[in-house]
Amino acid sequence: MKNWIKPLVVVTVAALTLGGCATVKYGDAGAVESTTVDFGSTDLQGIASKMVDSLLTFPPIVDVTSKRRPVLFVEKIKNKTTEHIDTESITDTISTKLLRSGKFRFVDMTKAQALKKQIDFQQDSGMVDEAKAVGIGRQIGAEYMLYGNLSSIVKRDGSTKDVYYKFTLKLMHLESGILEWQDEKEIRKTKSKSMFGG
Amino acid sequence: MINLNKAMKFLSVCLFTAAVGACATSGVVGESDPSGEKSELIEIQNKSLAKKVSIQNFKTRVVNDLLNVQVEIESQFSSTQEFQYKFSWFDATGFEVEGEANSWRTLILTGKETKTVQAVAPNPTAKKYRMVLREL
Repeated sequence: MKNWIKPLVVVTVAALTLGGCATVKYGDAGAVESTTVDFGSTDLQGIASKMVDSLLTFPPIVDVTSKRRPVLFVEKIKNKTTEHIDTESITDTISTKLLRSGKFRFVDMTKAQALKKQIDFQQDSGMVDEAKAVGIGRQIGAEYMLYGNLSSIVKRDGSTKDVYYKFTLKLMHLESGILEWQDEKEIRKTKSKSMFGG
Repeated sequence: MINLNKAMKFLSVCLFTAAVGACATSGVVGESDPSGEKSELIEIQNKSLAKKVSIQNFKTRVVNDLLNVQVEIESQFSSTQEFQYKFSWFDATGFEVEGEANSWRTLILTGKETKTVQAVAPNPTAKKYRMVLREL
């Protein structure tokens, strides 16, 4: 055996033994995820399901949505927890489900500037056929505003961490300022570190 | 009380379990009652799990054109148990409705406790449903 082969074999075997083999697998996006007590996908899905089911079956809302499809706009969900949580992702899931229920319609205020820019271009640039340009002042204003809060209480005791989340969602009738619907979703997660293992 | 017409009636509760420590689940997905005579079709695929819970009092109603389901699950054990359940929805022709939007939910039952789980169909086209219960 040549002199350089033996060290090469030793290094290769050591690298494989110590490094292991990385594997990538696809998982079920709807599976319950409990890697940590931090806010996760299962919390997001649970909140969205509860809120949508509650809103769609609340009697006064049933009265309104059985005759027509009211227009909503989504105001931000205030993140009052100490975690960085993408609350827009929660409202995106909620608005997706509401829209696909066929009971509500939405206006997207996050795209108001882009919309205005496009309409200005069609109206003022002289490049768009006037007969086919989008008209001004014909948009439908939102009738309701969807908004809410996400708060948490975190407690630690030695190796135990307990997190309580409370998500509150409200639906306000814009003209009257009346809250037409409101609901909460509570989530409790506890993590204990055992003496042995994980 | 189930007051939907026979074409809309469908329930299959499948009980299956995952092997301890493994990611894979074993079990069989239930089917609608082909005769249409029964409103519910319960398929117990895992006898061990069936001894731990009792599933009863299936109720359905239509609210806002949306199928609303309630199922009562009772623990047969004196200790706390954790399960997961998932609802799937199908239209009148058997096609799944909003399939990717269905996620597993956790159900914790203390000793001999009975809890109800509810779900609302994602849109008015959903006429049938299926609930799957599993333990980890």
